[in-house]
Amino acid sequence: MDDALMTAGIVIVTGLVVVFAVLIILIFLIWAFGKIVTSFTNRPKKEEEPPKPKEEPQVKAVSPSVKQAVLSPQAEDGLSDEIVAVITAAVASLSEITGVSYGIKSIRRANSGRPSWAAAGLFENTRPF
Amino acid sequence: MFEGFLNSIQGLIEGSGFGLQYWQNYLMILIACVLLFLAIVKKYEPLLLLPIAFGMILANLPLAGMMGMPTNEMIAIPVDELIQATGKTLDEIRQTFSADQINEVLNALHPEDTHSYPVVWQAVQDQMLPFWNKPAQNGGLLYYLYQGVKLGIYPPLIFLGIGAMTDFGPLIANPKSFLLGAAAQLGIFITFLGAVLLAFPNNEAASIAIIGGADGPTAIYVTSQLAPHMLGPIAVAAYSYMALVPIIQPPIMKLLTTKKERSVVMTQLRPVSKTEKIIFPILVAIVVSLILPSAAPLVGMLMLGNLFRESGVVERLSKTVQNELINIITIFLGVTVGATANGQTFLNVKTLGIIALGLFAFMMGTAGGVLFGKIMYVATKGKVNPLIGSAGVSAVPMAARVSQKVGQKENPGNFLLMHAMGPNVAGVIGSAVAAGVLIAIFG
Repeated sequence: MDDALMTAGIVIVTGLVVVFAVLIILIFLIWAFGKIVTSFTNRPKKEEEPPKPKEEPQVKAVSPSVKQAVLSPQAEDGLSDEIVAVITAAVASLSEITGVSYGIKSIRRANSGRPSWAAAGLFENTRPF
Repeated sequence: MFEGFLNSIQGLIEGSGFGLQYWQNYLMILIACVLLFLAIVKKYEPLLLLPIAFGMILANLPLAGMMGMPTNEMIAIPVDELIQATGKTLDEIRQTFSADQINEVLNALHPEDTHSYPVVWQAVQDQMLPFWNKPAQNGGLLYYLYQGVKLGIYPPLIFLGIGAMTDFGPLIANPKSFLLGAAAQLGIFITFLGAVLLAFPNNEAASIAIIGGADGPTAIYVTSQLAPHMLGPIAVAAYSYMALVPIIQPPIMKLLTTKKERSVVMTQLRPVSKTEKIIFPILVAIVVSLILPSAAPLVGMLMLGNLFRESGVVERLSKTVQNELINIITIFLGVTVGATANGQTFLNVKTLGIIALGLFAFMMGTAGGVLFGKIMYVATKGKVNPLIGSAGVSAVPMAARVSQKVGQKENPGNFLLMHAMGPNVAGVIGSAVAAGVLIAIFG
């Protein structure tokens, strides 16, 4: 039994060392290759002047009477009239459902870690669990 | 007349399968029906459990001979007469006579027999025992299909299909996942020790231990190389436990982690370029095969399948291995592995030991992955959720889904699925490497 245990010990140590060694080598190679690919991909971009980030479009709509006047110039900054109209319609439909009136003061991108559509897609794909 | 009728009926009964069955065969048919129920009603790994279960039924039916080996007729080769007739020694005959010359001599001696003279000539050449195995009866259908298992052909072909279906992107984006895939192989080696302590010989202990890799084709491949007589119980145990991953893993994951650790939200993975995805299978196949040639059949085919997928230039081949080929091989593999579970050989204490050790291997693999996940949690100052470690046991994609499910229970907004896919596919490579180590040592 001592011999068997000795063999088992050797197999355990050899097995774990080899498995970890092979996979660590792969980690290094993939990491190095990833770096090389990333540097090649980024190279042309560095030569170009990076565009300045646009400020978040702010749309204010305090009352329907002034909405048009307020929306149009700001919508040109980033959001089209159609998008503003869709968002306004969504808010209006919510007003109908809840019975509470809402006014749009500004439209700003919510700062969540994951885009809403991506989150919705993930949720849909993992819902069976 | 009535007596004659009774005798006929009795003869029919005795000649039917009912008259020749052993009780073990009936029990195996019952077990197969339970497995069919699990596959069809409970949908536990139906793609494999269903053919395995039906193969078990076929193998335990009497007189059908589905797994029957071909029989040979032993025919004596008259070497002494050959020596007498030629007046030469066997060595001289070997050196100077051609096959045709021997045919002439033998025909003259035994004009009534016309055997395969090249075989006789080979026997003379090799100075073998003067017998020739003349095939008398062909084997059963499943016997011939089983050769694909016995010769280690089906598991690598299954890996070809798996490779074409697998997206290694999460692993390439976060190569550290490889460590979790390696840690989850702990179950294999700890179980090897357990099997040795239970007095299993080394080759059998290695075959049992590989169940901990939670990878059916790998388990079958290793067992076919090291302990083919144990193929039935090991395959059934491996696939049964893979189907039970959602039941076996969560309690271990919860036991070994705190609520805070389970709630960790991991940052999104970086996008992976097509070039990286193409280079990955080539790189892995070369590196692993150079370091561990015995793992080449599994890893090589896995990576070939993945290259079919990622290269984008052989879409037809990719689709074929993902669908038609893997489906055909799955049928052959499942039915023939099930057919090895014959009642007389399957139902014994050893099988109970295999089933118990298989469960132990699964649990140890899960624990190894989660514990290494905890180490990574500490090392990265809380950026890695240890739950993804349990996915390192392969069982793609079920183990990754379990990580997702357990993580989402703690934090409904937490999506670990893609993070868990990294260790999950690393586990496939890890278990193939572990299989290569065991074959290299005991093969």
